Amino acid sequence: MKILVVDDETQICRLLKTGLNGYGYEVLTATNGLDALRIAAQQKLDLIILDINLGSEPDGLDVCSQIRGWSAVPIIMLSIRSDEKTKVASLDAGADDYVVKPFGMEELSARIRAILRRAPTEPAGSAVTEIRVGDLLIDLVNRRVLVEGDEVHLTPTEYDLLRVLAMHSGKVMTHKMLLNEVWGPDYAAMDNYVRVFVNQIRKKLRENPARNVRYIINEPGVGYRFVEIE
Amino acid sequence: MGRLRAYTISVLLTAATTLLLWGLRAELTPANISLIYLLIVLVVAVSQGTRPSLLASLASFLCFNFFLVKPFYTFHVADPRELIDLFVFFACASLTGQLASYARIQAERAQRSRTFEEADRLKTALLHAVSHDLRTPITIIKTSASSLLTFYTTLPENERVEILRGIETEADHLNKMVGNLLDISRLQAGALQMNRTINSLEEVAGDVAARVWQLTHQERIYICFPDSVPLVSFDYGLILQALSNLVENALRYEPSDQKIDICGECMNKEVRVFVRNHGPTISLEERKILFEPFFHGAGGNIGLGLAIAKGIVEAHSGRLWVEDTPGGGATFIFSLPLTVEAL
Repeated sequence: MKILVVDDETQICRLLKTGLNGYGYEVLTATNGLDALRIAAQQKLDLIILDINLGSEPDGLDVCSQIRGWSAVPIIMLSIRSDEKTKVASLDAGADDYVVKPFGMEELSARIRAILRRAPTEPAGSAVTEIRVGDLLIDLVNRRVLVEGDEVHLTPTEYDLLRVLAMHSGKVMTHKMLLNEVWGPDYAAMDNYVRVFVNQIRKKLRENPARNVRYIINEPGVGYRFVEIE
Repeated sequence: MGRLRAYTISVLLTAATTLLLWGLRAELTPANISLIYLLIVLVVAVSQGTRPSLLASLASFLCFNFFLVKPFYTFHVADPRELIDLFVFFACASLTGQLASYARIQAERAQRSRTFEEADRLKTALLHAVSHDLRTPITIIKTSASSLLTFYTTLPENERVEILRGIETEADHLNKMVGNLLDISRLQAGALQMNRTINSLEEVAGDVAARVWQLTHQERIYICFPDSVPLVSFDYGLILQALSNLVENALRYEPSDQKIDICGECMNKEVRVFVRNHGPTISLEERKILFEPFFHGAGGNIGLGLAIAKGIVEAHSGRLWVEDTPGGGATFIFSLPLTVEAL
């Protein structure tokens, strides 16, 4: 497995290289966007870890959308806490996930594993007939949803939203992506649609966040993530 | 530029007044006229300062004499008593103008020194926080790293792991404090960027509860939001932070076998969220300073959590206050105004 790490701080590149080597990955590094693009074009990569703020042109967001022009290689963005707009922009530009600085190596490697695990099945996934998480069962063939064995009645839109989220389990979906897939491209600005429907779905699924019963996880200011299916 | 504008305003005001008085001159006594001019000079003094008011006095004096004292359209004055009137008027106008503008300067100075005092107090508290609260985790990290470097081979495995865990914990702690310091300075400078959209407060409560579960693996929170609580407009990330801070604070004083409540309620033109704990009651003295930056109780950290929560809620035109929980404890309540669509 070959990973490219792009960060303008050499110290961070070096640390990530050591850490990821420890997890058994081969690591290449770049400290600016141009080098990153050159390496991504020349090498066969399995994943790219890309700092959003590279301190020079092209920045992380540009690099991400340029690479998406010719490659589907998974990309994880590194961002800072308060930078929600850039997180959303990078996801909409095709990044697969983001990790907030400062992060632990364990967290980063868990994200890498999750992405690599789901990478080959996407976008097909057509062989999947049901999705099972905790007490929740989504029967994709008959469009039925069961919680603790009881059938839950969802409206067609609620069901579609749940299905889209569950089909991308573990992946952050921005409001724009969800609107696009469930309602269609004309509804791209109706952020509150998603909120209202997610709220209804949660109640019907009897989520209880205080006891860790959760299927849909909030990514504040960014979107939603369906729980990882191990 | 500013000065030129002030002089122009004073001349224009005098001219306009003269025109008005000239039109009404048949109805007015010299006493009326001098009082009206005096008023204009005062207005100029208060709004534009000393020198423009002097100019206004002089201009009114000349206009008064030229247009409004018989014989008209000459500076010659027929009645010597009117000459006395004119000079007394000029003296009064210049003096009151001076006094009024002096009062204005004093008021400005007092305002400025109040702002300075406030900024100074914050700066002192900030320096204290940076020097003391931030240095503690830095010291732990530095000492841990250097003892690992020196004794790496001789330290038993479990102690190495313990030291490394300490470094990680302190780094998280430090990261949180730096985040808080940045937030409070953004709030105080009014430089907060808000991304307000229609959101659900119940969702925020759920997020906070989920985070508490992740940290403690205990069910410490009871959420109750009736369906009547509508969606309102707010910045999700910021309100999440405000509620997290309130909950973190409430949990710190909650008996370990009890749950805190997060409840929603819609009343009049606002939605209220109650964070209720069952620990000690907060004294009246503490209530007064509870939300001040860098104030912290016995179990607290740097003392910014509540100040940030208050700043965030107020940036949303809401309110945050504290009441007693019936039967003991503190209830923090914040309100957000209903959005137009929700009404």
